[in-house]
Amino acid sequence: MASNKKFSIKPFRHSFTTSMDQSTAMSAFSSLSTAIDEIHSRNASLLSFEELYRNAYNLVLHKHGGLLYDGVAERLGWHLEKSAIKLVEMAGGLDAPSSALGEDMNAAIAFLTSLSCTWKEHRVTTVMVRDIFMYMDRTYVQQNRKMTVYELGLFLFRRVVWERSMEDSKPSAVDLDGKPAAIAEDGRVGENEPPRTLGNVASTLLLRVIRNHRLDRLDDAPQRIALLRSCIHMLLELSMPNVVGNDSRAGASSSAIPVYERDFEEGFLGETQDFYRGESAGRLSGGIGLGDSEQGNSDSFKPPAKYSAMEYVHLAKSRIEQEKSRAASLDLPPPTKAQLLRIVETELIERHAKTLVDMEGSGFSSLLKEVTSSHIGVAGNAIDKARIADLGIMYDLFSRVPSSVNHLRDALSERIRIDGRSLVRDQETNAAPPATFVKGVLAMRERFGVVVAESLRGEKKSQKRMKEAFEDFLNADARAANCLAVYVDELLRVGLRGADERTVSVELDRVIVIFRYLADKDVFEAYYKNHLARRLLGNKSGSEEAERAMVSLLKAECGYQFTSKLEGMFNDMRISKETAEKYRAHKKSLNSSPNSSDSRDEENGGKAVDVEVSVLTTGYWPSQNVEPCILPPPVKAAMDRFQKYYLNTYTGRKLSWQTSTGSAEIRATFPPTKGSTKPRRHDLSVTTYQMCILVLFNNRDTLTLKQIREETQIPEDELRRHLVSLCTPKCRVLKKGSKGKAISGDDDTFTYNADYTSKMTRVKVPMVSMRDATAGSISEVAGGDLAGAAASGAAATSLVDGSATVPAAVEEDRRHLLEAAIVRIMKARKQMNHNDLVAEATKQLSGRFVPPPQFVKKRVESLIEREYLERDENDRRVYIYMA
Amino acid sequence: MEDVNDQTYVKLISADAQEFFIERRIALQVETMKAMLEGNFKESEEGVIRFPDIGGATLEKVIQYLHYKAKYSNSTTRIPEFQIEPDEVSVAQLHVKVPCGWTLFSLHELQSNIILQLPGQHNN
Repeated sequence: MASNKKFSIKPFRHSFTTSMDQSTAMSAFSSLSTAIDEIHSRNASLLSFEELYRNAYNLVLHKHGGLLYDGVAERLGWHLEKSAIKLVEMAGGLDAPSSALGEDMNAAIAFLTSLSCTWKEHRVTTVMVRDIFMYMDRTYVQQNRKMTVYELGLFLFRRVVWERSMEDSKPSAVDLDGKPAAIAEDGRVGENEPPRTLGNVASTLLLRVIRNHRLDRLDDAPQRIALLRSCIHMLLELSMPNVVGNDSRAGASSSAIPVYERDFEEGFLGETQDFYRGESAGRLSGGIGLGDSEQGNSDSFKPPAKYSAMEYVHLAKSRIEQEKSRAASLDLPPPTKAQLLRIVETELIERHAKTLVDMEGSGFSSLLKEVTSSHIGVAGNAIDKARIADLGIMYDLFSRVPSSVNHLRDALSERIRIDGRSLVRDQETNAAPPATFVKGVLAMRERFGVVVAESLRGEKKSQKRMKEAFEDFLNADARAANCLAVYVDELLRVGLRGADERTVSVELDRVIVIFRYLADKDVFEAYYKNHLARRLLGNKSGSEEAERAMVSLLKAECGYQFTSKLEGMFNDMRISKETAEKYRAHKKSLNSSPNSSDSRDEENGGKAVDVEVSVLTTGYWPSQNVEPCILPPPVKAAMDRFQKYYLNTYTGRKLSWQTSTGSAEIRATFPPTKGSTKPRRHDLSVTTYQMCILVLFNNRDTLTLKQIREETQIPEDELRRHLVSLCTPKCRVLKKGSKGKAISGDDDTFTYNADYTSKMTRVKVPMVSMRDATAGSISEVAGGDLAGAAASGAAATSLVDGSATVPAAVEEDRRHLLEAAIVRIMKARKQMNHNDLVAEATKQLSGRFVPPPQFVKKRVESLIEREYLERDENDRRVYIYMA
Repeated sequence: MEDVNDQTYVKLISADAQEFFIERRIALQVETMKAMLEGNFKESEEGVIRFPDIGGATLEKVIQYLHYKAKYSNSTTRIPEFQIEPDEVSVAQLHVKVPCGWTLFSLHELQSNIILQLPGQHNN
């Protein structure tokens, strides 16, 4: 290392001073000159390298470098000149741009072949000459800042052959001092159209061959491509940086002449663009493409058939593959390759992305519609795999140009919205009950899930768009939350009965997917709670496991807060069971003592009525502030006994009876049928209200509505519903005086039906819906009540299955939650801008619901009124927390 | 060895007609010789290079140097000095005896190495 710095190597100083005279020099030079000719004629093996080298060395050493350098240039130039003249002759016939492409192909190939041949030979010669003149390159060339011999060879080839004017048959003058004559000429002729050169002709022909290859009209393609590759190599090498002129001359610069870029790349890329612009336009609009006007003059191009979107996609895909492999076999430099692909992608994909998405019948949107509307029921849920694959291919193509993928995502999102809205509309117009609506959404989610996962390759952005689209239509109103709760209720009551753990978890996971989309999670909770209460109290739950699984899923989604009440409900049920156990034991011990009998039990044949009580914690359960009805004395007695026991066991508690949710079993005895002496007994499973009603008929056979109401104190709506349920054709325990379904009025009569028959001993009396019960008489009940039973009259108006509005109770909760959130935020921040406050509050509550800004504003105003907050005097948009 | 076409070895002939057979790979280390042996000239055909103005002793020393260089190029062991005995070719002699240009840019390495080894000069 150090030696290189310390010891510079200088040309050896000779001890002898004898200089070489001009004539010796000339003869040495002429032998070298002859040698160059021999090398050119491939006779080098006769020459001694050492001798030539020594001659060249001596000439340079004796200050004849200039002579030698110019001589080399002259010889190389002379040989090139001869080749150039030949090439110009060959090219003469080819130059006409209008010549028919097909016929001239052979001549074009022949020309390019000989051009390439000339180049290769020249290159070999140059390399050999360079070796001989190595010493000159190291000394003379460096000292005089000339081109090295090899660069000189490239330069000469460019000047003499490539840039040779087609009109000019004279040898082109080359100023060997480094500044080529042509450069000086350029200054003068610059304004005029530059004359066509051999290079121009060659470039045109190259492009023609490539075009033919693209059109698949090239015979002997591999060989032709190899020829093109060598021509392109040549151009690349001619573009290598070289030194022109030396420092003493003005304007001398060390620069690369971008022969490749100027004479080939630009034209090539332009041609590519035209070609694909024409082709794609032709394929997509049935022959009225941009390209045809251009193609018209040069070659007879028959208008292409219009392609379907998928056909086009396949075409584009294979075109891109072809271009890639062509670029590889032509060995194009990476920048050209990148630009080439960019152009092809732009022309084939980007410019037509919208068209391909929108194309009627075969575009992305149409395919998507077909795939995703393979509706439930029609050939099962099977999704068209072939179409999914097609969409995938389209996505792959589009993903080459990231901006075009947006069109696909837009189409996806649009499709989801349209399908979703139609589901919502079906639900709205009562064409589909809530559960069907949810099933539709689930099936839809499934299908689009497959599309996104498989066709769109699970792409993150598409997933996001799908989520947004679902959220968009589901959250248009509170309907979805409501319907989902109804659906879950059905699942847990019936759907999952006896299902194995796997099925349960799959089904519930699907539900959770939809649940995540909901903005009104609190609405869902309200309905869910309501349904759960009914399931628990009515013992209708299909599977305890599934119930627990659902709650734990909700907990995982929304946290402990969200499900604490639900869990409280389960807890109440558990404790109630234990309490019932203990009470039974307690009763047994009481029975042994004689004075336990209650006079009220006499009505029941002196036998005590069994009661099973569920003790519910206020606040956990849906609030039902319904006055208790008047219960039959034996029942009342049983309840009093339980109440006494309970309040003794748990002091300080208060029990209030909810007669609206209970159920009862009564044994009814009907007169024997003809031919039998045995009275018919039926165990009727009815609601508590119905029990109260039926017990009245123990003493009388006929009662009016008014009488029943007065004697039971059951709220009007419920009374009607429960009564009608007892008069249905299916289960006619009572006979109604008026005709039709509804109850005509206070004077309508109900009579004990002695002819009641049923095959079963145990009969469950089905409940009619609120609508059937009230039709004709009361029409104030909110529309859309479709599912079986609503819990109570009061609750029915606020919690109607399938309703689109947020229930009043939930609205109320929202107010409290929002105010609490605002106060919490303001307490922490002390001072906050309105918009920031809205954003923060929305963020905090988004797990339960999304408060509209207007709603937040109202709450803030209410808090200002109540002096929790005040407005800043200077900036009215800023709020200040008041301690 | 006698077979000149055996491209594993090449023959170098000095001005006083001494012949040296050296491995081709050794000869290829010198750029000039590489050009001679790989170009399509007479030398490459015959596998013989004549040096009409280099004496046998000098050529021998050069060949020794080339072997030395081949051995220690890319070597991780400690590189011994390339010894030139006083009675052997001196640097001055080498200059005189190797007047051909290849000393300068092809064998200049050799020259600088030899200079480095001279007493009193090697202080790096």
